[in-house]
Amino acid sequence: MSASPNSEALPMVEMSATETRSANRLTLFWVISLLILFPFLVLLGLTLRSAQSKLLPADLLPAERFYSILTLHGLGMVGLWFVAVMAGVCVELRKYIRLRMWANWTAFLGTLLGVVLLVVATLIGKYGPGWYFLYPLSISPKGVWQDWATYTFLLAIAILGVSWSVWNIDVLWGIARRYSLSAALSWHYITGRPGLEVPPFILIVTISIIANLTGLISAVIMLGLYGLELAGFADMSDALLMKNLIFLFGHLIVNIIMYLGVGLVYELLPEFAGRPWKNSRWVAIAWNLVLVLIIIAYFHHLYMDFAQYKAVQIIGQVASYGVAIPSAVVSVYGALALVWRARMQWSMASMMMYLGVMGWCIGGMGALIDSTIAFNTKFHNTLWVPAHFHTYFLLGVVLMILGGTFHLCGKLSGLPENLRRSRWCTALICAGGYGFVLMFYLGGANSIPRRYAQYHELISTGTWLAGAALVFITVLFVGVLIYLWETGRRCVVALKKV
Amino acid sequence: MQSLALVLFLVWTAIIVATFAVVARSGNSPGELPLMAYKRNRVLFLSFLLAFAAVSLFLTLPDTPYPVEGVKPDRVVYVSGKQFAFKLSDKPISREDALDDEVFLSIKPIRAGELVEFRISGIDVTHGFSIYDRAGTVQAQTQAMPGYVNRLRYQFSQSGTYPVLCFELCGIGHPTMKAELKVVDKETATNAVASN
Repeated sequence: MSASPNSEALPMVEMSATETRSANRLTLFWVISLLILFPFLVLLGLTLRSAQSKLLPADLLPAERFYSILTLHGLGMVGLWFVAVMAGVCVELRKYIRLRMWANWTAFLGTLLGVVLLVVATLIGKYGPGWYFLYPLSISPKGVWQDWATYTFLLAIAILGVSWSVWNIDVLWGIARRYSLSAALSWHYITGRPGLEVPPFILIVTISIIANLTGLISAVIMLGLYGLELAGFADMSDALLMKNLIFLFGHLIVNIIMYLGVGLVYELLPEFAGRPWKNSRWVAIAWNLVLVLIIIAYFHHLYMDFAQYKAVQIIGQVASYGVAIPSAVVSVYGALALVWRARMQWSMASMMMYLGVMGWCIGGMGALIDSTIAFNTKFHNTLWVPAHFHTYFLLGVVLMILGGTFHLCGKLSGLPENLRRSRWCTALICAGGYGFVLMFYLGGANSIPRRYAQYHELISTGTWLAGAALVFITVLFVGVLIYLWETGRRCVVALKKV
Repeated sequence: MQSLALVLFLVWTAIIVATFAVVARSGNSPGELPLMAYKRNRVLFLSFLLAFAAVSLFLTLPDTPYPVEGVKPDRVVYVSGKQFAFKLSDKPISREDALDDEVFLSIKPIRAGELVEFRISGIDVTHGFSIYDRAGTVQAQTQAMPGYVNRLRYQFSQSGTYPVLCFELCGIGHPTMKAELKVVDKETATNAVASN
């Protein structure tokens, strides 16, 4: 865990009391949004599994409602955890760089507006092509939803994309002004030249933002093509091109949410372990490799599109395997070394962050299996797919973010922690969460397709697996309620103080 | 294949959970992190992962579903997907026939052992063409995408009825979109109709 030779540490950024209050207030508004949207989106997921288990009869939840709820649940969760992790990252970033409050406010207001439009398009307009809105279904309502729902949805995506891009660019600009981009990317650690001491957190945020902006560019091109087609230039869009564009965007945003969460772990877990986690040549090489490999790895989403060149399919698998190695050797091994025989302060925050790294590894194994072409032939678009990404998210980055959020609200409110309640909360979320994802893995292994509103006789195993999942979701939700209570009351007290 | 994947996954999960548990409990006897051992073990871990990745790539990359150009299929079946049914034909399907719900197409019986190439396209939105075996396990699949023809090759080893399900969300009728492939023994020459 060594630093670059002769490195010079920059002084911490000092904010005035007014600036600090203003920043904390906005962060707490983000926390409130998280505390409202998270349980709402979990309940949407519960509704879906209830329909699949036949506990909720088909006439109470017809297919068009199922698919519009599925679309909102998927997009909602991706968007929620992106803004939540970005808000958390900004809290820690303020120690190192200056950020502009107007960029953060733009993202906040843009997100609120985007969410409202998404809810209107899906729950009222019945827009339901799924969270990655695959072309051309995304603009082929066929009587299920009206054209206005399509336009509202695309407008929501555009607003979210613009406001998040502004936020990301502000962060990257702030980092580049203080460190320079090459220093933030820690190239001097790789070459061994003297230079600035760069916290690994800065390196990880830089990598993640660059990757995310790459994905956002892809989304801009895609939205442009949608605009041309809807304006009447019918031959502008191509199904395979659009699929490449949406998956490049979607793949990158979900992975950088993960990496930003890991960045928070790099920054906060050392406080609980009483040991530093410094940058080094190993850390710098690893994360620079991750930047390149995570972009190339997106091809693993199109293995079953045989029209793609075979070379890119092979590259996709090699890159997917490759990107796991630096993450494992530096981040996972580094986290374990940090905790090994350390005088750990086990609180809700540290437990959740530690368990989040574990969930990242487990979800990663599910992902590696699916990113193997030979296995993907059997698992593509089965329940194995939601199995691995729910593990990465719910039991990986969501735990990291929940831990970090609780930690922040605790610090700002000054309220002491009830360790017993914290352990129960963590245990219930993990027990419920792992049981819930296990039902997905079993579904994938039994060839149950994903995104079926109901399972017919050939795949009737899916029905009882969905029923079993409901039990685990209930356990999980009890844990979530405890979390909402503990974090919510701290958030309220903190808001009164700022 | 699916069972193998599940077993591999569960074994790896058990190893990961055990590792994290052991490390968490190590705090019961606190001490300094032994730096030399840390660095040595990191190199060992990296070497292990590189070797594991190399062996896995070597074993799995030759097994891809993409058609091999030098190998000629025994039989070609044309498939078009449209909300919410598949049409199968021994001849290329015209756009008019693919779009017309009143047009009913059929294929000659598929014989067990022959290498069949399914040439698959979507006519309205992207669908998925996923072949199940008689035990209800996915055997092969590809996408049915408008504007593209994906060539899926499969050899049915036994006679019987093989279900096909749509594997790409294509609208509200997605769960109902299916077909059946009837496969006969080589010696049998009766007409079997692929139904949808």
